[in-house]
Amino acid sequence: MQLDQGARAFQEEALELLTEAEEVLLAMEDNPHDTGLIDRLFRAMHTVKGSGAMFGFDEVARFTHEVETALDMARAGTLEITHKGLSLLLQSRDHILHILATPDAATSLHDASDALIARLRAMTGQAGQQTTAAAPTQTTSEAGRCQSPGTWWIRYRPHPDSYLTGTNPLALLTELDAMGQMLAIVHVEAIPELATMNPESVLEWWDILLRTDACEEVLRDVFVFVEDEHDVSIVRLAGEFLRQDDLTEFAGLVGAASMEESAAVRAELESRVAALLARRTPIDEPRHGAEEHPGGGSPSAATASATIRVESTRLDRLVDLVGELVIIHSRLQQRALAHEDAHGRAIAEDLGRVAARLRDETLRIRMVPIGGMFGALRRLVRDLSMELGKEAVFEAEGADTELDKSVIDQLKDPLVHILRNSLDHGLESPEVRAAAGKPAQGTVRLQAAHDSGEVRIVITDDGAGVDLERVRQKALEKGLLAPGEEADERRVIECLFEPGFSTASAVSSVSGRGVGMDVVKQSIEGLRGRVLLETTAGQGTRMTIRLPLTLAIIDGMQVKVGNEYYIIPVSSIVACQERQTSGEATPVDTIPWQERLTPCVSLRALLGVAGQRPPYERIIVTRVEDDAVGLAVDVVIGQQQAVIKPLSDIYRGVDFVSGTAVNGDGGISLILDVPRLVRFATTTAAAAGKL
Amino acid sequence: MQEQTSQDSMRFLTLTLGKEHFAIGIDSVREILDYTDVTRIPQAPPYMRGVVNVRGAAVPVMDLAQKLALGEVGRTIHTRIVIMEVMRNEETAVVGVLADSVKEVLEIPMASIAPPPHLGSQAGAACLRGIANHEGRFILLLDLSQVFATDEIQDLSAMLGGNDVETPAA
Repeated sequence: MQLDQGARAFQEEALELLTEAEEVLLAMEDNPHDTGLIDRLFRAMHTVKGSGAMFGFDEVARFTHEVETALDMARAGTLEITHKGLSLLLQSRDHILHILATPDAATSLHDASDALIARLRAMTGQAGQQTTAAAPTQTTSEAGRCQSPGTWWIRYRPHPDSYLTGTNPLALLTELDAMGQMLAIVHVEAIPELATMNPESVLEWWDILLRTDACEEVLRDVFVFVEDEHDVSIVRLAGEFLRQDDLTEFAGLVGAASMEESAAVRAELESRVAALLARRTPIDEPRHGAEEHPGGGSPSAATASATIRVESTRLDRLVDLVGELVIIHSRLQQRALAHEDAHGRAIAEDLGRVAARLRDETLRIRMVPIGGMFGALRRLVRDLSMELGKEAVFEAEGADTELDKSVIDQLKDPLVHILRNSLDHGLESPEVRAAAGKPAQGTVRLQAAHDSGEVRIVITDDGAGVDLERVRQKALEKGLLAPGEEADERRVIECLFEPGFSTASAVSSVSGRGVGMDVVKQSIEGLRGRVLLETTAGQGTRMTIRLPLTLAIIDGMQVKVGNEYYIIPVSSIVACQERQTSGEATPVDTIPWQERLTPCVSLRALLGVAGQRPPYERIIVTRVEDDAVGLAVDVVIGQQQAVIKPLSDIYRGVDFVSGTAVNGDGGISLILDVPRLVRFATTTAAAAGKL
Repeated sequence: MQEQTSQDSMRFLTLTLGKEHFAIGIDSVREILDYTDVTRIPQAPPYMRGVVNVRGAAVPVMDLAQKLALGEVGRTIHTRIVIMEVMRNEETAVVGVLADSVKEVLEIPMASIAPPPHLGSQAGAACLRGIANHEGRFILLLDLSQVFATDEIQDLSAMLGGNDVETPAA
């Protein structure tokens, strides 16, 4: 199927609706009867079905129809969604996503749909209906022109000679069954003992409670050939579908009543129904804010027009253009200064102000609340805990915390992995937890917040913590620790983040494939962030992730070495010093700082900068993890906010340059990744035997 | 990217490295810059000269002569940076190529293009699409995606008779 614009728009919309559906389903775990939630879910599925049919996504429409039917019953109150039901609905939602992703539906997909449809129907009590791709609306509308939902009570006593006249009462019952949901109670008291029984006479009769859309005319039509001889009474109990529980109750009532007591039973039924209906409260009150859950959900009708969907590549181009504008302003300003043009300077200043605000606004557009991914994480915890046989609940705070869209996109995988680790390795099974005096249900909590110009995400679990002894053993095995090496807790945890490390004795499908924490660390560092792990044996583990607010701009200190410009992220800078120089520069030496000899890296020597070493050098003291390291440069130019451009992957081997920025004069500054630079300096000096 | 104007000829941009003429498909060429300041990236292979600012983006610049083991591109008034698009890892990448000079756009008939000489397992051969004979001169047709696909030097010096390409004094 060729995807044209309309189809693509439908896919995007369907994706949003299905994301909302998942959130609602997860919220229904705690509130399975919340009519507001069920309503939202129904509307989402209804839209997916309708739009799907309109744009030719037939399989989507066919399958979603079944889901919609179940939800329709749920919102009418006739179907109660149990925990298993929720799981089935979640699986169905996943299946719709799957179908969307493969527009040319294969037969295997079709079979998978049918399998789920069978289960859905079993849930809604419609088992036995055809699962081929017949027009899905036929089952309810083929019965007739009129369609009004109702609950009926039918008493049907066939004539004893039915078989002799060629009538099979069961056929009539089957016909009724096809019209909706039927509850049939058979009365067998008239059947004599086997010795005296005449198998050719029909002595049983039925009470039928039927929920159907068909109107009375159609019901009467079923019995049209027999109503003269057979006893048929059709009573409408209610103009809507009553609940299964109520019908079961009624079934008991009518089952106990004889044909003679019909009138009394009818009166009783009618009064009970009236009582039921009176007890109901109307459900068309508007939902209040208290019902909203984290993750935002889709905008309501009132605010739909206030948001607009934009391709992120367009935003990127906008940011680029604004970046160029800022540079041009800078050139203008320099020229005005050079020519002592006061008017020119004034204009340049005005331009600069507007350009700065333009840049701030543009970058703010890219900010997205982190709450959008909470739904997927909650789902992960739910599914995973079920799969692992553990009980866990996911709590999240700080859904409003905003991050740059590109950061959020790249954050998902590391977060998923951390959660998987918590569930697989951290949390204990309910038995073990109970034995340890902990609640059987474990908690995995995620807290997101802005903290001093960064975003801080903390993930805690109340599991068993990291077994440091095991980690130490494994590190020794893998050669990450030397046999006699003194390794404190920090060092042991560092090993956890080394590539190829894994303590899972059996590689589970969940984690433990040996590509675990090192990938997490790399991903976070790739986002210019830091990750910290703290653990207490028996009590749990805490992972703290710190990230810059945006990948697009950096607060940096511009420095010059020779004729080359570099930028050092301000967030790593602690202090600035000076020193006299003598002789040639060496990659690593020491400086006195805060009464200790601190290592100092010479950018000139390490990076092979051409030219003469100046008589004085400036030292930028940086902090890497807990260590201070000085960086020796020629000149400190000043602090500036620079728009970062990624370095082409041709230079992927140069890992200590995290990007480039354009200077005011059009030249390029290289942005340094300080931890990696220090690592490079260390290996260089070690190789030269100088450490 | 269609490079055939008609069925039987293709258009190329010709450039020189020393005395040799090379050609690259015209459709991958974005622009041609004078040799402006190239910002050095430390710890890079010697044939990567650095990056150059093209409207805000840092475009990597490769010394084509060094990559093909034909000496070095010097800095003269004729030196140019050819900014082009090449396929790298299934994506389009913008890269720059340093050349001693840029000549003209030629339309070369397919009949004049011969397959590259077979040099055994030389890495150099992969980057050549063919050899053309144009007005008595041999022009080597380069496949720049291949040139940028590997980090190795692609040694064409053998094919050119072992002559070190002479470049004007830098």
